[in-house]
Amino acid sequence: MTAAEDRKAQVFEDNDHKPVGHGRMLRKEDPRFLRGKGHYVDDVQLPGMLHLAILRSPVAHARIVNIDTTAAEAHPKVKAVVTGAALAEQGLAWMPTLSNDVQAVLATDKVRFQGQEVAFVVAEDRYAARDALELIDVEYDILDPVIDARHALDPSAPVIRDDLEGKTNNHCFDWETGDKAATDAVFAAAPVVVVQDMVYPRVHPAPMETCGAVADYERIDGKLTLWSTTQAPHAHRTLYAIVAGLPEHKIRVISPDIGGGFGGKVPIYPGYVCAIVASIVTGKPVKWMEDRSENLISTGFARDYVMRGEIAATTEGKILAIRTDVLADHGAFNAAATPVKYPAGFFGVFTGSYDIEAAFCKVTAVYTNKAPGGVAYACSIRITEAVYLVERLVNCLADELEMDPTELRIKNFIQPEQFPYTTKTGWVYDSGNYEPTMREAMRIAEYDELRVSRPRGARAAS
Amino acid sequence: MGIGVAFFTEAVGAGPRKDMDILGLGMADGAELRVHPTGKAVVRLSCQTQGQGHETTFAQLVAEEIGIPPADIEVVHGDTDNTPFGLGTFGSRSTPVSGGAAVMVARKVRDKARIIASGMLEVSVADLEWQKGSFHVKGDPTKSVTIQDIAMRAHGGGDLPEGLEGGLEAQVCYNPANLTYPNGAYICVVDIDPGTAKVTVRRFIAVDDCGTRINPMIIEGQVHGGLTDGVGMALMEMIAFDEDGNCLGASLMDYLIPTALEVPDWETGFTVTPSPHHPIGAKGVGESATVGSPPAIVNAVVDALKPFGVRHADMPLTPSRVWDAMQGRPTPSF
Repeated sequence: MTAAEDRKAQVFEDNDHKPVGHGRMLRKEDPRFLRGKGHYVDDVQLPGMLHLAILRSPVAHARIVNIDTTAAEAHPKVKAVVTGAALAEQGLAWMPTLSNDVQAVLATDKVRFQGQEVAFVVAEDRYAARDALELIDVEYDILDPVIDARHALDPSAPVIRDDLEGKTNNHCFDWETGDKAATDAVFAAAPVVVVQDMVYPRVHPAPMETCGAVADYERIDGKLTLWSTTQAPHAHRTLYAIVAGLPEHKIRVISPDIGGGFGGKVPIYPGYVCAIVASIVTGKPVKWMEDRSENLISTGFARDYVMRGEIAATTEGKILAIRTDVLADHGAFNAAATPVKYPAGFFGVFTGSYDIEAAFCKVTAVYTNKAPGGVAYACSIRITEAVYLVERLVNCLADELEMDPTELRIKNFIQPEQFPYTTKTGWVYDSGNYEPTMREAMRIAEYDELRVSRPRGARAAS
Repeated sequence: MGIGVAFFTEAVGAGPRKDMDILGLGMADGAELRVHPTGKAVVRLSCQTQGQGHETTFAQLVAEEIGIPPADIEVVHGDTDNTPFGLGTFGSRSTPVSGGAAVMVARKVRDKARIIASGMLEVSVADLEWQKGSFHVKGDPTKSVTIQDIAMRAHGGGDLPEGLEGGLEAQVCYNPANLTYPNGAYICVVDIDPGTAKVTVRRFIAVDDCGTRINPMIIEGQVHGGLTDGVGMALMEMIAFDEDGNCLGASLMDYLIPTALEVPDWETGFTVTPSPHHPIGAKGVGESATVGSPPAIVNAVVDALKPFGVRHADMPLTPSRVWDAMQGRPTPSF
């Protein structure tokens, strides 16, 4: 059924006809948003609130030689200037990431990506805080950066993570899934093999609302209230308790209206921690809101997978096996928000919607001098990359076999009676009935007529 | 002109907790439901909306189970002092996990309401039949009490069945049995200007199967947004760097995101294959369209470029990249 038909079938004029339960009804929250009465983190105003701005690295890779904050501290509206060295004295210069790595809250030894947090200023207003950043003098000893993940493991590549003991290269992790021997055997015997290299480039969630926080630490009762742009307030509270050593019951995380997240508001960013530290240091509420550029250059990116995909099939178009080798660019710190046992997220579903004999995948993750992150932007935890890989591969196979891409897919679908279906990489698909879904899309598209209408031949691309 | 097809299966709604945790925190979610004396209710959730309409969807989930209109159900979230623990909203897990929690807590409240109703109607619980919003005696629909009547009795001065505490509220922590696996078939039609190599998405057909559909309007909104994202990723968006590591996508002048001008009228449809383990058979849909649309668009562009001998071109398929592909030049590495 199309959505348009469904709309006609259901009463949907206003909320006087709303269902008691499931069905179409207008959103309860919309009157608030449409009338400008949404309440976002940046709308939080507290008496005596100070403002925080972050000084970021202008270069991708450099050793910090010296930071001179005297001029900034002399600014009449500045209340505090904090560097990585000051945080280090409190044991707060580094924090754990959601992937069991560590990330600098403020750089102490080196900067490792352009836009990395180096120092922060707390001032009476937003403008003064920004102005004072200009007064901080940082001396950098510039190092060669590692930008192309394909060269990150070259023996000559500079080591980015020399903060990790004994680290002599830029290797982050290796992860494998599936049965290599069985897959190789199927490939060796397969009549048709198609290989395709593809890049899923680095993208960014770019939510309408950037990230920010208001921290309010009450010295007398030791209670911290944190308004922050988070998609996971409880998880964040527990992590703040662990990182900052504050008792969990004394922390309240409030996530008010959020202007889009798309995964980008799952990680804990240094700015949140800086705001907390600033409120503890000054005894006042402190607001930090990043601007658009800060959001794009420093918060959780997505994708950045360099993939080689291989698909094996019979000449009749029965898909036999899929094999893939992935180079994953994790940036300067592995801050991907992913379940611990799944460092490459749910990329293991790269076998797609097809009933195949064997599959194998190897992911090699590397550090580069780019912003950390990795799992963000509506990706279902790396399924975006997996689906792109398999759906491009199946299309390449269709081209090779000169088969219609819908026919090839329908021929290889997992059948309804096979559910629950365990894939060759161990995922238990709970349910599905793929062919009717495919045929419904073909019906709406008038697919057969569309195929015929398509001009073919040289110079017929338009 | 080119036609592209993609069919995706997603795995969304992490846990279960035995397999999935983030830094030791198991991926389950809590929900708490309190029905006030006058029959209005408040449901407290561990997940957090970012614009996708939780205040509506979760009110509808609870309404379906206990028959209180959605307008009478307040959804509270995003405040650790006022909500039960849970891992939050990401990876399309709100409906699969928190949605499961909301349904289960509503059923728990309904079970208690049934006991109170049995006292009010002076029959055994087995002789009661639930009709969304009220219990009546089997075979005699005239003998009935509404959920609002029951709420008042639960907080009132009259007798309750022996051993039953007052109040009408419950709390659960829902640990999903498995992920849910939404899927969908996408077909994209593009036109490429042979003079400028600009790609225009002419049509996009998206048929999604996210199991039981709670609010179809919100689902379509999710799908429209995700498809728009997909056009961005396939044709426009990239955080690029120069060789010194300068970010070349540091503003929205440099990092292009799609607007209404870049996208067609979406043609959406659906099939319904319920999840067997989710309490109402729903599957997450928040990311389906973002996941499924880029390969459909790239497949369409490559299909259009077949006459030029093109077999593959990497995203984003900007005019310059498509032009390169038409000239037989490889996609630049970054």
